[in-house]
Amino acid sequence: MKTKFNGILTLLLAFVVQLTFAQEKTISGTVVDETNLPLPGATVVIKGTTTGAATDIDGKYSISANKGDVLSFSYAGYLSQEATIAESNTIDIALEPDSLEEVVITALGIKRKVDAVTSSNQVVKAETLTQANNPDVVQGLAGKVSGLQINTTSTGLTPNTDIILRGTSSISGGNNALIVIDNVISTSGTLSSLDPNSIESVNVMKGASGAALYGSQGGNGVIIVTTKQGTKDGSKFTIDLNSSTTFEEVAFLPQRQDRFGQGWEGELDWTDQGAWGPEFDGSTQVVGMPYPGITDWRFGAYEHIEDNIKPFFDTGVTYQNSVSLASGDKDGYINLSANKQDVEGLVPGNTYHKEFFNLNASKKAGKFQVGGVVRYITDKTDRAANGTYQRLSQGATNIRVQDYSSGDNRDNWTLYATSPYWSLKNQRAVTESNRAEVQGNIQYFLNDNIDIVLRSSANIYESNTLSHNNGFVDSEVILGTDRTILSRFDKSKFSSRRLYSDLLVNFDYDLTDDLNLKTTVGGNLGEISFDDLRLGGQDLTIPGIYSIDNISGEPDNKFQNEGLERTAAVYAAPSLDYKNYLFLNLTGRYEWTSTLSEDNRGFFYYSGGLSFVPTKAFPSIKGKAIQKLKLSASYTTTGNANGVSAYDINRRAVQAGGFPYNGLNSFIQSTNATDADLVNEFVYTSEFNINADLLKINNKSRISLDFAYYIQNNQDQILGTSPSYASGLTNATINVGETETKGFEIDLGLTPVKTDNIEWNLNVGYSTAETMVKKVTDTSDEVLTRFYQSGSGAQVGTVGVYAIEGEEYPIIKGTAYTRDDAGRIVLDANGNPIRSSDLSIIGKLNPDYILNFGTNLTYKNFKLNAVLDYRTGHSFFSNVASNLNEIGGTVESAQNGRNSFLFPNSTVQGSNVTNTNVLTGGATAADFQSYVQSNYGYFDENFVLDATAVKLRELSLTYNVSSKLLEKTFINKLEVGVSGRNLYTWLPRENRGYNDPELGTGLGNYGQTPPTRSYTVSLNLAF
Amino acid sequence: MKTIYKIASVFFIAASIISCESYFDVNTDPNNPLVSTTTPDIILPGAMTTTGTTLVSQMNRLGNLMTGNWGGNVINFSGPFDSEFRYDVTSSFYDGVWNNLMARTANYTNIINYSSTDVNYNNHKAVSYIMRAFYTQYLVDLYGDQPYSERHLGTAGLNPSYDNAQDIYRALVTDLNMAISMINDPANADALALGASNVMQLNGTLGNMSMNDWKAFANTVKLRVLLRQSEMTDAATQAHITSELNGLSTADFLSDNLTLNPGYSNDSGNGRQNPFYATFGFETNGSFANTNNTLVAPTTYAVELLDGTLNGVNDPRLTRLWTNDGNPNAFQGIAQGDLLGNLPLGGSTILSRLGAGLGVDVPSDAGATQAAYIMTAAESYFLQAEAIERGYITGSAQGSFDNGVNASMALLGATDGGYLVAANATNGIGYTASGNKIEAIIYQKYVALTNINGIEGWIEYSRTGFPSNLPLSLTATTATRPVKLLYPVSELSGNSANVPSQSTSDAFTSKIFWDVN
Repeated sequence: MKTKFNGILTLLLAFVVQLTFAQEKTISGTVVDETNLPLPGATVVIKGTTTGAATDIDGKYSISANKGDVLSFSYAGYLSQEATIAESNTIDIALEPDSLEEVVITALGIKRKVDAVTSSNQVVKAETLTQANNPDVVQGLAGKVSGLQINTTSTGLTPNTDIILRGTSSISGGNNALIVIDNVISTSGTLSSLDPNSIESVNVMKGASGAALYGSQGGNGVIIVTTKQGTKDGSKFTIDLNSSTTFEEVAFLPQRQDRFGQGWEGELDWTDQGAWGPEFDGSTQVVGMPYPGITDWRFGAYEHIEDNIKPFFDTGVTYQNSVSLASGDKDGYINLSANKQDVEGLVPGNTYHKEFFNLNASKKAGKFQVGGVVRYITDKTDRAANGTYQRLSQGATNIRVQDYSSGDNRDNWTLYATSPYWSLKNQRAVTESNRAEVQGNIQYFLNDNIDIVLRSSANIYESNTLSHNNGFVDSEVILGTDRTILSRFDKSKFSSRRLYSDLLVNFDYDLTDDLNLKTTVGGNLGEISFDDLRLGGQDLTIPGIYSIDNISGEPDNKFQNEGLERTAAVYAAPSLDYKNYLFLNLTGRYEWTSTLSEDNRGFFYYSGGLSFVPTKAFPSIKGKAIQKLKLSASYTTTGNANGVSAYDINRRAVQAGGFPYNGLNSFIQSTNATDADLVNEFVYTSEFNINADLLKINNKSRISLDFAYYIQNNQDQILGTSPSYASGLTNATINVGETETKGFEIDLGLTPVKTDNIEWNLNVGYSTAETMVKKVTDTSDEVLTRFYQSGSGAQVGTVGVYAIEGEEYPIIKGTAYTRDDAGRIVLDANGNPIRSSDLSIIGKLNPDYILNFGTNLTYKNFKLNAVLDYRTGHSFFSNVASNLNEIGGTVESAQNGRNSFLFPNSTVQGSNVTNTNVLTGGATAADFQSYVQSNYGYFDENFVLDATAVKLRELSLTYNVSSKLLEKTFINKLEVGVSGRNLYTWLPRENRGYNDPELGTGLGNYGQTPPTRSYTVSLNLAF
Repeated sequence: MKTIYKIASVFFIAASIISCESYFDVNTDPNNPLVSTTTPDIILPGAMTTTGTTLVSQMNRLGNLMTGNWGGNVINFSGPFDSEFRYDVTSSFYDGVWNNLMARTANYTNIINYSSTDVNYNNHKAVSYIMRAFYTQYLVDLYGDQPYSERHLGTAGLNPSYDNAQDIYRALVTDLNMAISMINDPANADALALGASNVMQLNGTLGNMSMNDWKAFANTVKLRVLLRQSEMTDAATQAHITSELNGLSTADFLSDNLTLNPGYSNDSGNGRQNPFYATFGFETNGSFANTNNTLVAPTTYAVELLDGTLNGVNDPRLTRLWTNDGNPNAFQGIAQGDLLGNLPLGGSTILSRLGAGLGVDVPSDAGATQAAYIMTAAESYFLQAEAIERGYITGSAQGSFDNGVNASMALLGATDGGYLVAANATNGIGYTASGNKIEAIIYQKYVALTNINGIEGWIEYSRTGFPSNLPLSLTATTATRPVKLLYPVSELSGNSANVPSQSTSDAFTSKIFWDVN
């Protein structure tokens, strides 16, 4: 084959040489790109002939031609231009990039023309990502890609995020998209810690066919991140400086009842934190514990204070500075960037520091191209123990929390909890982590048709956490309650190493003039190893020394866990390109993983996709109205075994609690088990896409429309289930179920205004996905997948997230009121709604649809951006509301002045008539409290809230100092900006600010802090 | 074409590396042993401690509350034991009892199913049959129908079906008989001795239990299982009891306290204290354990039962079961659900706490390292007394009754001081003078179980209705106390296809099969 194609090429070249004749004059000039940089290797051809030339390294060409001839200039990825030869012997041409021929980086670093991509993807450019100066790349993606949900599942210094594409289609919980940075499989943690300014673009591959090549981990879509790769100006270094300061504050707090204060069963009680006291009357009352002396009572007005816990929190400040140096030419580039981030958190004393360093470079010489990335991230988190916000929330609203801030544990508003201010100083955890990523790649161009790539990477991570509790000795023991706290410390060291190696061979052949075949054949080896060590003990002999020698007894925290997983794969990805308007992509991959049993460890999956571009096939339909039309469809299967980790299929025994006792050791069976015969999951996806650019005015298409429809079928999902404890297990990982997800996404981009001074772009994304559970297991038609856990892992309360056959997934099930056929709530003879053990469906977690709005308005040197999204049709369980109900803090707990009332639309059991006389809530304050806590509080239904939210995620204004002003300075670019994130969140009335529904994956709990909003000022300088 | 071959050969080499099994053969856990290679002698100590802890802490607490023994310390707490005193039985009410016993008894099943051709583990297996039956009886007594024949199957049986409670009771007798015959079988002479793997002992003396002692315990458990059904009048049940107890007249029963002590210690590092002490006593540094120590007070009833108010006989066990607060009423209790203001002196008095006989009145190493009671000698004697009284076995009911009272005194470190004589002369609390001998036996068992094995007291109250003057909690909204627990949340969520639907009223009305009164 090599001989044949080489022959054809030789023939072609000879033909070109043969046809040089009858020159009249020599035309020369330079071909440059849109940034005025030379384009080497651009083709210049006299139209209607085969006479041609190519530009040299400086973009210069010369060609002999006749006056009147038309020269055609072309370069891959750029729009061809024509020029008619007149008198001048010099023709300089600036080529514009061909947006239609834009290439995207797809799986395994394979570049594909946009037209050749057969499943849905969306590219987020650097400027869109960083427009609001979000220090976290992952959160910077929120609201910018239809079908992509970035759920911030926690608040605090280093928020956790779930990255979910096209909804939670898998009940096995592994719904997070795969993160690939510079062609190397990485983690969302790494992406979060990248300097946003170092990123060139993010390609969100929603469809599965690209993911088919990534194997197991790509089953939920892939996010391909490309970092900046230098500039094209090789003559100097471009220096880019970014500096920003962000202020973060509490966005909203739960609304509290404002009628009743500190107390119990209707009586004042200065020791108890609950709001079960008498009605506020403004009188002066004892509040909290005496301090500093045992008779130093503190008094306060017995009245409601709005947001009484807000003074506890500081305004958080984040300083971010980064510098990057870049240079490059057609043969190579080098890019060095460094970033430093310092955060002072909302919780006083909490800090976070991060330093980031990135060097990437690549150079082509001869038949080789060699490149690599070195990245180092080090950070340190110093934070108070969790639970501060929750503890603050447990107090009645007449408590001025800032009055108890001495930091002594006796200085508190209640006898029965640890002082949050004491906790800030004395219960802390410091985590230091280091992450190094090294990637190297060698590409060898065997000939024009074949190149070989070897790409290897290592990701090494280590983290050390030291947490400590200082001791406290209660010298008072008021009312027999001993607030003594034993000192303790815990230290953990975690390290991991991920190695990946890919060997790819790329073939590129023109089979005929019209048909091109590109094929990638490759293999992959992967290895993940980790080591986790923990040690800790209590009762330190000398306070403040957190060392294992300093505990007075034996260590009570000993943990050792190491792991090793290996994978391997071979794959092939042929793709055919017919006349640049019809594309066929095929992939196949066979994969092995060490985590499954020998019989089940290998599995094969494949994909096929077609793309057709009518506007190229039938140029006649292309016009002002329709600029571009692309239709594509694909069918993909992917296999994965993500739900199972190293050694999981071993039936393990664990050391029994407390052992060894005095030299006697014992192991008992672990109550967690994984089916030893587990097989991999399969996901089958069919997808159909339309992409259109419409209405071209002034060389720009004003409307873009992207539509994707898909059906996804997940089978044999690997799921950790909560079985009957009679099985001997409390958690069992098994293959369960089958789900089917149907969804579509529409993205509409509009440019209503585009003049020299003003450009206004608007985009709207609509996405919807519904997952139905078709089967659970042979023995069960429902399974509990997520719940509140106690320390021992048992379910707390009755609410949980389930997969139920025939129902949408995920669904919330919990305790609901017993209702009769007429829908009336059934009461017992005492007027209390009847509590039944039956659990009912009380909500669903997936939104009906998500709307994204993004807009940017450029006026001269000003640019205004906004990102907003709207999610609706779903609900969540608020543990915050449930908790506040328990302490008498909710608005509902104060209704009717805490007197008995006629339960609306109720019936007394057995009466069969609407209740008109039996009252609920009892006769006394104690009865009412008992009703609210144990009856109202028992029904999970009462705390399932509408999760609808409108979020103004980003609003930013930047000013770019005009280049004319900078002309005489060394500065090339100067941009200043102000921006805000999460400035406004609109919640429905029943969610009284309890939770941001996005937090906590459907079971909304207290975070480290309440939801926040932030403001940033930034400066960007380039020279 | 040559290139193609080169490339192909590279892949061939790569593929052969991959197909090399050793590359993937890295999935054996280096961190934990496997269940299949963990021998019975390694499992047994953990199986005994994990189940025993549930009995002496959680189940003990629940039982003492349901039998009206424990009041709440309203001086230091707002609404102590609020849900217990309202008999607020829901699916999450003490669901740890089911969760722990169901999951942890699987370790006994693993021992029973362990197969080895090299070592005879029949001693371990016999003990596991006995212990599993002992705890399974409690599960049946507290929940009724439940998974039995399909339980402990691991991933092969995640949703086991339910068996009839009475059938399970029959199966328990079969298991106990199996254990007894294994111990009796001379072929098992070569069986590996329990040795250090037996962390149970008699009266807390380490390593003093022979297989014959285990047989005596098996007989006692069997007696308890059968007597529980004694008030059922149907012929089949009575025939079953009679035939099974036939021949037990000369058998050995437990005559010492069966205790658990793997080597409890009071070293800082926690988790190794006696679980009763750890829950209701003190931290290793001597500060109060959680809030449980100060949370518990006797009920007025519990005090009046023993101080002569209710029956005219002063019971010396009072001073061992509860602390003397000194002033003004030496032993001060509070009715369940009562308010602070109703205490003498308008609430400015002090309530008694768990007493010295239990080793949790003051911080001490002795308290932290004491053995935990699994089954007391007193309970065994009262079971024998009842069996004799009902005519199932022969012997002296009075003798067993007296032995039971004496054993209880001994356990608590109380001095009789003429109590037994005085009690025997009193109707309702002593065997001799009581018209209803069963009432006297159960009354004494009730006192003997107080603070030690509350759950047995509650179950026996449900069966017999004694002590008959047991008051309801003041905050109860029902006319009776609950007779069982509801299926736990873990079952509702993890086994929804099989678990029967229940509402709160089931805890009061749908009785366990043996509860026929």
